Formats: sequence, C-alpha cells, structure tokens
Amino acid sequence: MAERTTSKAPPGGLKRWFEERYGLSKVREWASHKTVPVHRGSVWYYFGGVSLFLFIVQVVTGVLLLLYYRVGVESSYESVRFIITKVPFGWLIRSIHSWGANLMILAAMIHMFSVFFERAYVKPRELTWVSGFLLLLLAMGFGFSGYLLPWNKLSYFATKVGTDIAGVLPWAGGFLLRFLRGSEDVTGATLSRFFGFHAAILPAIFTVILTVHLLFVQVQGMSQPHLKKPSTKPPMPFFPNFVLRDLLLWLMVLNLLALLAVFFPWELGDKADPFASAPAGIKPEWYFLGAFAVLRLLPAHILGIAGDLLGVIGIGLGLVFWALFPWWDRHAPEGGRKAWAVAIGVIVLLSFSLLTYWGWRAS
Amino acid sequence: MNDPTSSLENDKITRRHFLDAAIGLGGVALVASVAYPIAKYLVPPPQAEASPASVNVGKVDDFQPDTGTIFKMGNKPGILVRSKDGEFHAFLAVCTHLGCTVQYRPDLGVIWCACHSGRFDLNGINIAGPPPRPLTPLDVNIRDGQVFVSREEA
Amino acid sequence: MKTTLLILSLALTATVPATGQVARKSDSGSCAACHAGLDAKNRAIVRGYEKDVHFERGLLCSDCHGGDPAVKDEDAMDPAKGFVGTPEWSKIPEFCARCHSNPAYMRHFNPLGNVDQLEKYRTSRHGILLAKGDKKVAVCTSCHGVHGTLAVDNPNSPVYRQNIPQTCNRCHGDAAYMAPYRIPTDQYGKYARSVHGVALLEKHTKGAPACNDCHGNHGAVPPGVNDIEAVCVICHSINGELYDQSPHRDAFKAAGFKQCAQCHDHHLVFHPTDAMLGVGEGATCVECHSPGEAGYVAAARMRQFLDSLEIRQTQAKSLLDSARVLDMDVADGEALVEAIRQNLIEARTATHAFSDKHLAEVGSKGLVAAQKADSLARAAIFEHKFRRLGFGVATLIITGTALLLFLKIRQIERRKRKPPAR
Repeated sequence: MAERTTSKAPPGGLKRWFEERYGLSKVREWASHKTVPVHRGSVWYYFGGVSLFLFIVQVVTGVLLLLYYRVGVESSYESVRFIITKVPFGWLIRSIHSWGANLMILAAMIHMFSVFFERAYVKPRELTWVSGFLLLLLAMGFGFSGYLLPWNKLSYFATKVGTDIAGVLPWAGGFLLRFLRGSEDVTGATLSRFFGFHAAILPAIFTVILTVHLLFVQVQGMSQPHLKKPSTKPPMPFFPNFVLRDLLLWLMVLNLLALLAVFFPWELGDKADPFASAPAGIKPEWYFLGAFAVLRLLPAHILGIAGDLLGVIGIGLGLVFWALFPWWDRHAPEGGRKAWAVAIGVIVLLSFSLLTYWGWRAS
Repeated sequence: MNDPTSSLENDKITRRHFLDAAIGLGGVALVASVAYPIAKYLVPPPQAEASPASVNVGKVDDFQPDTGTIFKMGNKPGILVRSKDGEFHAFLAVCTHLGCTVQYRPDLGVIWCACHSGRFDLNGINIAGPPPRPLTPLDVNIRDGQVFVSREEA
Repeated sequence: MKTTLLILSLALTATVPATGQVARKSDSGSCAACHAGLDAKNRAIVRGYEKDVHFERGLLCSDCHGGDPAVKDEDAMDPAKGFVGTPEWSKIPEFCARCHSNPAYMRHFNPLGNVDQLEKYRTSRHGILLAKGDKKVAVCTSCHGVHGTLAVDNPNSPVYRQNIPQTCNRCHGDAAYMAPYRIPTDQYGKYARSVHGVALLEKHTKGAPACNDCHGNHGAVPPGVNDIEAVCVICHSINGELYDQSPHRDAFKAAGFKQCAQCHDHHLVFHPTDAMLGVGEGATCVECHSPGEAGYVAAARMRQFLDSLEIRQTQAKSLLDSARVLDMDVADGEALVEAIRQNLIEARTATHAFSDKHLAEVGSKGLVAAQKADSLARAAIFEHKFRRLGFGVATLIITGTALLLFLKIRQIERRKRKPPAR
C-alpha cells in the first residue's frame, strides 16, 4: 500500500520533499538489499517478530488501560472491575493485555531456544543474545509486577509468596524485600511501587534494550546457521517477502488474542483482603512455575544451609550461566554444533518444561 | 489457453491490481475493526468513575431541615438526614438488625426502621429496638453548595 | 478460697472507718462465721451470697436480715436489735422494697434504676393473687433468686434476657403446679418454636422479645384481647398503623377477635408466609370471608399480587444468574435484587391495610426494580452474544486479509522467480 501511494505522488511532490530531507531512497535501497536466509530452520526467525508484535500490542493495550486504571488499595480492584464492566470494550482490552503478556513471554522463550539450538549466539552476536535474554527477564518482571495490579486475592498472595523469596537471601535479603514491597508486608505501598515498575521504569529500560537488540540484528543481519549441508536456496528478500509473511503471522496472532479474550476472558476474582487466610490454589504465572517448583521441591535444609536459599542462589547462578553462554561455547567447528552445548540446551528445556508441569500440577 | 500473450499479460496485470485493491480493502477493514473497539473504549462511559469515592446527593438547598433522603451509595442505599438545626448526617441506610432500609422520622427525630421499629439517633447509634449495632457512618462534605457523601476512611 | 476472701473482706471493712452506706464497723462477719458451719443449707446460703450482687455492692447479712453481727451467737439475732430473720413468703416483696422502693437509698447504687417494682408487682397477676393469700405465686426471689442474686445484665442471671423464658417456664411449664389456675402450660414449647423464640434462643438476637416484652415483668399480666395490638406494635409499628386504618380494626373489635393474634397466634407466632393470605389452603382470610364477598376477592387479589412479585423476583434472579454463568459481570443487578427484596418486605407489611389497591401501589416499586433487573440481565446476555458476533466479524476480516496477503506473497514470489527462468 505504502508503495502505491508514494508512486502515485506527483513527481516533485511529497516524495521529493521527503527525499530531499531524509534520503528515503537510501532506506529503500537498504531494505531492498536486506535478505533473510532460507533453510529448514527459517520458520524460527518469525518468533522474534511475533514477540515484537505482542510487545506492541502490550504497549497499546497498556496505554489504553492507563486511561481508567487507578492505582490504590481502594481503587485498583474497583477500577479494573469498572474497566471490564462499564467501559465499552474494556473487557477486550484488559483480556488482550493479560493474554498478550503470556503469549509474549511464550513467543520470546521459543525465540530464545530457537536461537540457542541454531547456535545463533556465537561471535559476533554475543551481545544480541545477552540483550535478548535481558529482555526476557524484563518481560517476566513486567508479568510479575502487572499480576499484582488488579489487587485481587490470588495476585495478592502470589506476590506475597513471590517477594518472600527475595527475603531468603543473606545480608541483602531484608533490604531487597523492603525494596520490592516498599514496606514490610505486601501493602498499598507495594501496589504503587509495582505500578511504577510496570508502567514507567520497566518500559523505559525495556525500550532501550529492545532498540539495541533490534539495532544489533539490523547491523549484523540474520544469523546463518552452520549446517553440514548448506542450504542451496537463495536468500529471501526482507522486503516485501519476509515482511508480508511476518504480517500474515501477526494477523493470525491477533486473531488468536481476540479468540482467547472473547472465549476465555481473563478472570478478575475477588478483591484482595490482607486479613483473609491465603486461598487454595495460589500460583504464580506459568513462567514462574518452574522456579516455584524448584523451591518447593528442595528440602528445608541441605548440609545445614536453608534449602530455599540454595534454590535462589542456584537459579540465580543458572541465569547468569545462561546469559553468558556465548562465552562458554566460543570456538565453533565449521558447520557443526558442539554436542555438550546441545545437551545443555536440551537439559535446560526439558527441566524447565518438567518443573513447570510439576509446579502446575502441585498448585 | 489459446489467448494471445498480450491479453494474458493484461489479465495478470488486472489480477494484480485486483489483489492489491482487495488487500487495500482488507487493510482498511482490519484497521477499522481494531480502531472501532479502541475508539469506543476512549469515549468516557456514562458512569465516569469506578466506585466513585463520593456521591453528589444534590444541592444543599434541596434538603429541608428535619428531613431524610435515601440515595444510592454504590450498591447500597444511603440515607442523608438534615437535622432541625440544619446539620447533615449520612449513613448506610441498612438496618443492622435484618438489613431493611431505614428512614428518617421527623415526628420522632430519629432514624427508624419500619421492619421492627429499630431506632437510631442522628449519630447513627442504635437507641431502641432490635438493632445490635450502630449504622455505618458516611462522611458528608459540602462543596460549592453541593452535598457530597463519601465512605469514611477505614 | 472464696470463704477466706469473704472473711478477709469482712475483716477489712471492719478496719475501715465508717464512711458511707457500705462500711459498717459492727459487721465483723460473725453471721458467716457461724452459719457456714451449721448445715448444708446454711453453708449454701453463705457460699451463694459471695457471688450476690448485693454483696458486691457491700451489703452484709444484717443489711437485709437485721440483728447485730457484733454480738456472738443467739444474741446477734435479737428482734430488739432489728433482727427479722427469714421473711414470710407473702412478705418478701415488701422485704425487698424496703430498699428497692426507696429512691433516696437506691440512688447510691443505681441512680438510673427503677424503684417502682413493688407498685407494678401489686398490679400483676402474681401480686394480686399473693395479696389474696396465694402462697404459690411468684415473688421477687422466684425469678431473681436469693443469696446469689445476680445483676440483670449478668448472663448467668435467671432474669437475663435469654434466660427469662426458662425462668418463667419453671412454674408456668409445670402442669401439676399450675393445675389450680386452669391456664395452659405449653407456652414455653410454643414460644420456643415461634419466630420470636427461635430468634432469641437459637439465633441469640439481642432485640428478640422474651416473655416479659409482651407481658411485662414486675407488672406481668396477660394482655387483654383488645390490648394485643398495643403489645405487637412496640416492634411491628407499621403493621399496627395499617391495621388501625383497615376495616378489620372495628370488625375484629365487634366480633371479639384477638387482633393480631387472630391470624398470627400469640405464643406460637410463626414467621408469616404468603400462604396465610388469600383464599387457598392454609389461608387465614377464609376463616371469615366466603366466596363472593368483597373481602374474599381482595384477599385473592392480594395473594395474587404477592405471588407475582415473588415470581418476578425469582425470574430476575435467574436471569441475572444466567448472565453470570456466561461470565458477564452483573454486579449492579444485586442492588436491584436487593431493592425487590426490600419491596417484598414492604409489600408483605402492606397487606395489613387489607386493601388490594394499597398493596399494588406499594409493590409497584418492586415491579419496576424487577423490570430493570430483567433488562440489565438481558442486556448482559445480549452483550455476550454481541462479543461472539464481533469476534466472528473480526475473524472474517483478519482471515480474509491474511488470505489475500498469502496470495500476494505467492504472486510476488512467482513474478520474482520467473524472469531468471526466461
């Protein structure tokens, strides 16, 4: 469409106006040269785009929710309830925001594991990997802080349990707990703080890292996996072939979101009551279930050290190990993968899936 | 099949134009179907706020001294009483006995429940009859000649 | 332990110089010292008195029984020193009234209390019969206890609100004891099953009436046939107001009917049901009204109205429920359902005007609320359908566009691939 309108513009008109100032032809020149490698793993390239699309959906719906959401112990629950009952299409916006968050993290995880197994993180793309992994962690931070904002029973207790984990750390634990909660317990202070994280601090950090991440991809181009039998197919032009495919997939994702929002509206539940006893079935969002399961499975004490402390330290070290993976797996044999790297990937993927399943079953 | 190449080319061109036009149309419909809910969402709903913190019950002059008025406080009835000396008192109009809606009785000068003659004074204290507890008090504020009633801070 | 306390406190009061009504220098506890050692009965009296409200307020044996506790043995109980011993049954009210009817004296203990008990008692059935020499009737101690008398607001007191029905029943439920009076003895059983009894005895409702709330306590009499309403309106005032304006008031009076109790009974007052109204089985109206009469028609109409209001309530509720099942939020409907419930209470009360027109007027609010609840629920159910429809349309658009994009991609790629082939 864009092409059509510009081609129809009278010569010397809008087109030239922009051309003189911004050199659009260079951009188009660049776009026409950008290609996407075609091979049997090409399908995985789409998940980065899907994650990006879902992030855009989150930004749009999140901004819309800001119009009616009012943070506060006396107003958070009420305003979300107001959004889903009184505001036209508020139910849709809110449900899409909730579902979109989950799909975004799912898409980002698929993107991450596909990059891992394609070994796309090796030189020169180490920082793309690190920035991507940071984005995933930030997305989880979005999920964790956003979960509390409706101030309902489940989210209240899930946040209580979730932030408690920070408290097990030695020395910094107490401070960290207070830093996260804004007070000793999960209170209105926690709510305002989480709102600040969710709607201001995290978006700012996320946008910067996302820009860097995308910039890296543009500068370095898409990674071509080292296959034993290199693909014979010519690369696909990024524009319009790949963009149109991306668009097609985005439309399907949009349709899926609408389907989920209409047929499985995200529940609001009952308002949080700090004095009520914890309800049965408190569970965090699915992407935290794995960590949740680890902490539950560990015995109270291991060699005289608190089990959950070891769990937290273990998970933390694991995340660091994972983030720095490009430096462990450096010297790539031409056209091959390292068996141990693949094994680690399989173990991580399997144990994450199994722990998530266990955590889901146990709660 | 036996068409000359030129018409075949023409065919292709028209088909391409048709497809482009159709995509344009689909794009417009798509934008509309996304923009419609968003536009509707942006228009403020009739009830402007979630459980408004305060309810505007009316103008001060609308309430004669020695009268009581029932109004809607969220999902519950509220009662605004203007006493003989012109002061305003507001409570949830839910009797603490069996939950009937209470009313103001000018002849008795009390808030009274018709169900079992429970009585509350103008401070909401249960003074006679079966009610076991005082009425839930509400805050009254007067701004620009309007009476606003809000829930008391816990 | 308690006895030591008693003696100790007696000793203490003895050492404190007389400053008021309570401290008596002479009462050194000699009464208790001897009487506690006499026999089981005397011991029980002394023990019981330790918990007595009079003892709590500093009164000692001699304050009621006279005599001089400072003197030993029989000398303490010298009638010359004011010793009165155990009063005769028929003298007990006056015995207590020496203090309790003396406002100047009672002011020191309970400035807000009544001092008219004896006066009222004399007007009661109990008091009248006692004056005639009946020694079986209740006197002060029958209900309040003696040598262990507790304050009325003490939950263990026999005259604490919740204990009153049992207290009255001690005599009034004893068929042999009550035989000479030829009055029923099943009041307690009936009361305990009644709405009032259930509220007081089972639900522990503070305001629920006990025996004395209708019969009086010190001035206990059964209300006369024409005074029943006066008793009931203490709580059920609207019903009384409506009844007084209704044709029933004069008609009942003329017929010698028992006002409220004619339809509702007296001790066995059940929670009224709609079945009591109308012309069907169990309806009280047909006890007097026969087909064709205006009253019969009005009764039938009133019942019909209540039934329809009730049905509208049920319908509104179930419609709201079906909206809820569809995950639609209809919290506003709860306020309407509550409004209908309130109106049903009002309407049921309004039946006491015994006018179908009045009832229809009162109940119109409920019908309006039911209408609103209906439309609210229907709107929610429609909204549910609308969402699915909207989703269908959006899906059609999205799928259609996606399909066109797919065709476009194929077209582009065919075009791109062809030139090198040529």
